[in-house]
Amino acid sequence: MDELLIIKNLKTYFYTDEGVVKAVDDVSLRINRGQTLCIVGESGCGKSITAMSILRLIPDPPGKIEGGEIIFEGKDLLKLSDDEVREIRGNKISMIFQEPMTSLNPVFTIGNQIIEAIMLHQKLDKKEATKKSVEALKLVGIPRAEEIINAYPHELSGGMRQRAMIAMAMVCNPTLLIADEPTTALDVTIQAQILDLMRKLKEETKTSIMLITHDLGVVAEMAEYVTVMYAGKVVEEADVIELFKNPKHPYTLGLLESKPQIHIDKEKLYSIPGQVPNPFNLPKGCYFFPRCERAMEICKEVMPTLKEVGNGHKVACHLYGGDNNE
Amino acid sequence: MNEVILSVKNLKKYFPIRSGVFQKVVGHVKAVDDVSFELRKGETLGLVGESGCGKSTTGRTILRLIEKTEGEVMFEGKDVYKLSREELRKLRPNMQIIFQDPYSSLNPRMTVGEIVGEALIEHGMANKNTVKAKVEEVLEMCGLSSYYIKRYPHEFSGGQRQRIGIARALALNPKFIVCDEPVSALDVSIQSQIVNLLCELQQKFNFSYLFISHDLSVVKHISHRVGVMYLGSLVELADKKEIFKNPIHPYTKALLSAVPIPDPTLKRERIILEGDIPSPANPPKGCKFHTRCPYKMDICKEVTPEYKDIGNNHFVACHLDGR
Repeated sequence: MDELLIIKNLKTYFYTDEGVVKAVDDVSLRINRGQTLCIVGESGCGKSITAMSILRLIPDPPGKIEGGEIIFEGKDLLKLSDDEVREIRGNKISMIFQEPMTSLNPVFTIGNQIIEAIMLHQKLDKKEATKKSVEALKLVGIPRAEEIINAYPHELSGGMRQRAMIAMAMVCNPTLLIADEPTTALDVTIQAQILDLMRKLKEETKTSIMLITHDLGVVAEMAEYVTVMYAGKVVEEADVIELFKNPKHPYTLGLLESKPQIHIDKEKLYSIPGQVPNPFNLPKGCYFFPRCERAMEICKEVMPTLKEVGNGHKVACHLYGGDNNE
Repeated sequence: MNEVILSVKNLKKYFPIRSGVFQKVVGHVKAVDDVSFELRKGETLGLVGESGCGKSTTGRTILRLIEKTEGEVMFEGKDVYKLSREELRKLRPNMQIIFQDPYSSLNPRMTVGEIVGEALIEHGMANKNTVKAKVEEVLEMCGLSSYYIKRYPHEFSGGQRQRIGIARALALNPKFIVCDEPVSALDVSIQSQIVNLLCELQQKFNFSYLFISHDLSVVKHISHRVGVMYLGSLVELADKKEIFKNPIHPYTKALLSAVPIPDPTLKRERIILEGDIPSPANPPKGCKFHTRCPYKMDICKEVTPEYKDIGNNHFVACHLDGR
């Protein structure tokens, strides 16, 4: 398949008074055209920072992209000038955020904010842009779009705001849509509406989606390919069916086991002992070993690398194949 | 398990909406509108619903943290709203609450020992000399080491803070605990630790929980019975197995079908509700759900369906009720 975005060995570090946080540490991933990639992980695992690095939205200082390549449609985004990145941002690559209230500007109407994006990237006059924004709002299922265009964000409900965000993100026909926890702040029935909408838009426009979430249920519904992150590293990646059927990394297994499921009764929930390690004081060797029930001697000393174990399934764990390179 | 510890009858809580120069009351937000249920000893009743449906207000009105508008709350045979201040204070240790956000519900200027111990001293269950030993005991019970006692909340992670919140509630030997979204702010791997802790403690001490959550899979795991709320009213309440296997109310059905299941091979019929929850200040006439209901009939627009037992202790408020 045709590759749209390739991230190679991305390193994004934050320099704080207390020390260096390696928020994203040597992460590689790829998204094909028309594919939905899900990045799963708990808070602080670096999934959002990976997304922000793609759009070069990392605040500098304290953050800095220290290495790697982000190749989008053949160009390395990290080598582009600020102006060139601005051309791509919101146009070819757009993003929707978790909090639809804080990511919309409260002093401008919904219409204003969509029109701004259109006029910035397309050679349209105000009238045409307005018409286009109404169409965009209709596309995402907002009723009375002609009225809503003049509404301020606070006049809309959470679900409607997220729809408006999606309309804004889709209006320039991006080839990649990054959605950072788009439904986490929403109720389940509204979440179902929004996920349904994203799936429909993807079918129609063939946009690739990079969906960041902590909810494995959402992953199972949306993803084609899944990447699991832990403490700034990719620990496992595979096709969605393969990953859920045959999870390999003890962390992935733990995540799947510890989630109560609505269609299965469990006596007691499995829980991963301990907590996410302190980013200033990461263990030597595998970052997961202090919480891992199957930890071996080697795990304390040597960081496992991501290796293919068949079926396009990659895992970074010493349990699967000897890892003798230092 | 059979003894009823809490009984709520026709509980209502309306918040006035004020407007204008003289702050005249122009309407009411009907946050809790005629809710009735019973809770037995050692039982967990899950209360689910979307944001703004009044589940937290129900919990707080029961504890009399906010005053009711109408109705009756009986705790161990005593009407909570007929007690004097002093009597209520004496009852408080029996009824505790665990809050959602472990970041804002702990006083940042107090040490863990002070947070957990304060109520013990206040209620005369310990004095200055014995409080340390008691606090240490409770902390250990909640999976925290006793040497944390001198630390401040900011030194802990979210999961540990939630354990402190649980320890604080537990210290007073309560009989009934309102758990108001206790795991919603936590990561999945930490969530299961807290859920397991709550289950273990219940088995050990025979607590009754009112478990408020919007996460149906967690509610299903922890509850014995489940109640579903919509716009301030209970629309359905039944035994856990019954309600998940045989949901009657269209809202319950839609809610259940909207929960994402972590199994990519599973294909499900999904009911997607249209629109948003109407404003509780101006709820629809008749059945409150009729504006979003896929099965609405003419009668639903006019007549409020009665909340009644359709057999097997399965309560539903719907004109269709099982037909």
